[in-house]
Amino acid sequence: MRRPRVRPSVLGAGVVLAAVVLLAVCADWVAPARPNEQDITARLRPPALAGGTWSRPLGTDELGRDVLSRLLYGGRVSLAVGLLAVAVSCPLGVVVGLASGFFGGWIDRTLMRVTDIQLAIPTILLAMALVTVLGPGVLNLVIVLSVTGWTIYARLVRGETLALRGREFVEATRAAGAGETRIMFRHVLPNVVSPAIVVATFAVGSMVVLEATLSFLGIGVPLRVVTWGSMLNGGRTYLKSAWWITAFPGLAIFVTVLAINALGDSMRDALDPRLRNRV
Amino acid sequence: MLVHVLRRLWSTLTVAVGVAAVIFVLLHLSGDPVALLVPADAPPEVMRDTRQALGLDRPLPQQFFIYLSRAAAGDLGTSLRHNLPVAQLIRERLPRTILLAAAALALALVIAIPAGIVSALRRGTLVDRLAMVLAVAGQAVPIFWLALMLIWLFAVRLEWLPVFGSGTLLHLVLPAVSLSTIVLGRLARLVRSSMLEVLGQDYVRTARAKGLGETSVVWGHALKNAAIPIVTVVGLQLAQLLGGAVVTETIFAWPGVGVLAAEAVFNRDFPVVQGVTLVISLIFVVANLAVDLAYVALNPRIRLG
Repeated sequence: MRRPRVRPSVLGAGVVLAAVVLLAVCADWVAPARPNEQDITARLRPPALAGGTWSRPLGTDELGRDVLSRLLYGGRVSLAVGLLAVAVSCPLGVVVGLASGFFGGWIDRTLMRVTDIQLAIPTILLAMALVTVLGPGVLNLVIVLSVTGWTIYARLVRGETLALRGREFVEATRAAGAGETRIMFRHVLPNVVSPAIVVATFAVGSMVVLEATLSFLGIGVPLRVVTWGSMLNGGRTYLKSAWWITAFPGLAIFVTVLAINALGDSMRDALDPRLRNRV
Repeated sequence: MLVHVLRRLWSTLTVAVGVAAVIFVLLHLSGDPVALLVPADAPPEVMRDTRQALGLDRPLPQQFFIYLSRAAAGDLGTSLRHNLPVAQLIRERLPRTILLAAAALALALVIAIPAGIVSALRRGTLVDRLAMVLAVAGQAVPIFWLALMLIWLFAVRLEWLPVFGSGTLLHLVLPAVSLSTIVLGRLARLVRSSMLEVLGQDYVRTARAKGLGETSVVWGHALKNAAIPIVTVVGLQLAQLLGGAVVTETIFAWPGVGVLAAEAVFNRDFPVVQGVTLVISLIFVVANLAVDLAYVALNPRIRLG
């Protein structure tokens, strides 16, 4: 098999993502200040290139906290929450879809009806309702995001499984005496994994955005936890006088999601071009 | 055909009841609304009376059935906060949300369809590249951030447009533009790829060979056949659009059901949260029913299925 040529956009996306992750992980060494360190004497300072000083490269917020440092530390939580949410919701959705497509009948009808019901509730509203139940907090946010995210995998994997169920290799394995669970996980699963991985890649991006949206609305992480979304929430009041508090975290989300999507696009083209019109 | 429609209606109905059940259970897990209604030092008798008056002392399934039968009759309960019928609150605000979502969708379609078609026809050219870069960027940009940046640029810096509120057409511009990006990029890419797929088909070549003009080939033959995936995605994206409206409305203080729902979540005003979620989900379910039936119009082959 010939290896697909690496496109420049993929290379760019990979470099950007690696840099974002590395900076977030190494925030302790890279960041000029602690994320919640206040300096009341240096409030609302503009970024260095807009008339500020290089000691505060991206300026400071309303409490004199360093925007760059908050951006780096905030990236940690934003990315970790996004990744964790996908790590929970993807396997969950895959198992549901697999069971639904493989067993068919009432199991399929029930699971798909549940999926339909959830898909009918806009994600934001569902997440808002779930947050009201669970309360704010990083772990709760991961749970909320995971609960909202599994349906897409379930639908996708069910469709793929249905198409595979009647294929000869499944029949052959059954004839050879393999149990249903074994067939499902050892023989069908490997064939439906690649579309799920493609979808999961895109999902990391949408989870980062969803986390930011909820934190921006003030119902995501608690205030003291720095994420890109909570920075946006804090900065919106000062939009008129200090655009940089809002501009940079949003830009960070934008660039990260853009890179994730570019990566997802190329993975889809490499792993499963049929998905082109579906994800 | 009739069987198909009836089956779709039945599943629509079960989904609607399911949505109501999910929301109902979720919000009843979220805490005691009575504690929010009465003063903190209220004696237990007052708590009990309030609970009884609101029917909150009955078993959950019974409460749900009462809720459901009333909802079917258009009574969504009374807001704990506003002390007004939820149905009335929603009725007052829903037109604004629909206006916002419809404007955003219209904007997205008006831009995405021509952009996708032109990209497909001029594949590989600068126009195509530029359009697709913008589409990819549009897919990645968080709408609430875009909204804030648009406010900063057009309302604070340039002072061309009003920042908040509603009333004039100008108030609609920024919210609609922000909200439209939720679907715009994805739609443009989808139109492009569906068109590319269709343009390579034999019947398009035949149409060209017949001597049909390019306009007729593109709009009459190609787009009509490329429409099915587009209509599907538009239907599914409606949920995103309506959900996005919640966020957009809060940023622009656009007085729709989104703001109502966001406030209700903070205040644990659960009849309102319940009502808004139910109504929005119903709109989505009904819209998708319409999409399903539209397939039949677009593709006669589905009629048999």
